[in-house]
Amino acid sequence: MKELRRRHLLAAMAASALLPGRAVATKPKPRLVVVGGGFAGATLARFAKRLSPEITVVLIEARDRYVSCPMSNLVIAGQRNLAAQTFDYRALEAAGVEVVRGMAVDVDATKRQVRLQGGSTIDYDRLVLAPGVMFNFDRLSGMSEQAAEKMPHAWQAGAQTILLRRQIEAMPEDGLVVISVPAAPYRCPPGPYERASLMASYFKRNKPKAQILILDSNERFSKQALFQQAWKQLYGDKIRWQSASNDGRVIRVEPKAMRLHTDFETYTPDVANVIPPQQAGLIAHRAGVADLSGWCPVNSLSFESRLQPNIHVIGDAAIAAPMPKSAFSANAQAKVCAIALARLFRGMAPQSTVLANTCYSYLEPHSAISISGAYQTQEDQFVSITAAAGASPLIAPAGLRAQEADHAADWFRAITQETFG
Amino acid sequence: MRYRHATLLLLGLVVSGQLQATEVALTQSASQAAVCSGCHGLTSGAAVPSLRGLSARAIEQQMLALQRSGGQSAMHRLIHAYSDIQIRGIANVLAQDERAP
Repeated sequence: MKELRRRHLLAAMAASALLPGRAVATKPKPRLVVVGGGFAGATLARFAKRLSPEITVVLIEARDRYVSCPMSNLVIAGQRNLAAQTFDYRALEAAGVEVVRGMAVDVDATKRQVRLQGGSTIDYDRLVLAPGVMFNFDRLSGMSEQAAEKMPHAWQAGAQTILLRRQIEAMPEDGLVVISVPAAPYRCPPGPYERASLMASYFKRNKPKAQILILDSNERFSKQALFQQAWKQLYGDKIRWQSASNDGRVIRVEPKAMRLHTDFETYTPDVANVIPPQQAGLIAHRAGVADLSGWCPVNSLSFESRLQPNIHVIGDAAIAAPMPKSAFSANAQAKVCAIALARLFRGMAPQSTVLANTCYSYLEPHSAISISGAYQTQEDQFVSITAAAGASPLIAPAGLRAQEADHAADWFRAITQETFG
Repeated sequence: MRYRHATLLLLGLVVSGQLQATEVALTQSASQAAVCSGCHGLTSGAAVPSLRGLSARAIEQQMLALQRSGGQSAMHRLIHAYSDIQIRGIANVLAQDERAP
């Protein structure tokens, strides 16, 4: 037996000598490289390793900590500590994922290689891009990274969240906050309206004369009837909303002068929360997987890019409409994509499935509403299952809003434990 | 001779058991069930129960009951995405899922 093996090995070595540039007989372990350690990328890395322990899974992430956007509106309202939503990657490393701290700046799809800032490269057999969103400052005159230091977006959690919180605390008793909402699609569709609700709950207790004006680039919004009903009931006329057709679209900002311009009006609020227009993260553009919309078209069974083979895109950067860009969607897509990848590594075709999403929004700190949907995946699309789509009832039985706040807290605990814990 | 056959048989069962676990993890039912753990964690919360340790039959019965009840949570809406056959498949996968986080 031993002798036989040695002879085989010798034969293999002899054969390999005839094939220059080929590795020796043993097949190298497949390499899966993931860029981006948010709800999509971190979940994917973890599940891919669990489903295929024999493969190498590398996660490239620029930061050593992840600060979650979900629940960050509670931080802005002073109801939650940022530390309660800050996570690291130690559990992923313990699960066998190779976590590489670095910024992926380019992808060579032909060589199947990711290049990091500093010049080093990482080879892949399959690549998953989960870069989240990047701001499209070109689409809002005057807005920039620096401008966000004066007019925070707080749409990527962390320092921006704290900045907006401080501004809200420091503003005058009868101050005005403007929230500027970009044209859809953007990350977390109900987020701006939850933010207005929680800011209003803070003002109700601390600055009863303060006002919130939402300047919206859209005509309608997620859970609109529920939000507007709650605003009236809980906050009177504290929150005003102007749709795009009601001169709500902010077209230019002047951060130094704290001015925002719509087509016909100029506003000079005390706090300007300017959420910029968005597109897929930069690496998706470098890799050639984003289309003219700025987002990434994917095959709905495998999340493989429709523009580049062997590159998959999940989470906010992917076009999965009517699935919204949410942490719940990102986590669900990651698990489905991980199964599809495990099948592909075994030479099996990916299959259709049913994906789901739920977005909870707080109306005040212990009261929440939800919207949910389920999606049948077909070859090239995500089809909403209408029987499962819907939101919380407008007329709620006693205790339902409080129970949904418990659901929201339980969801956050479960999803962050699964992703980072 | 008999002993060797028994060993081989046992080995076969172990191997097919492992194969089965891998195959189940990659089925359509598994990818449908994958969504569940986004809310249903390793331990129960104030409102969302953990599904760990429940039998396939118990999970299936609860899902079917949810479909018929008039509750107003997100789960009461989402349950209508699944057929009875899909629910059985999902329940089977969830009941087998004993892995550590």
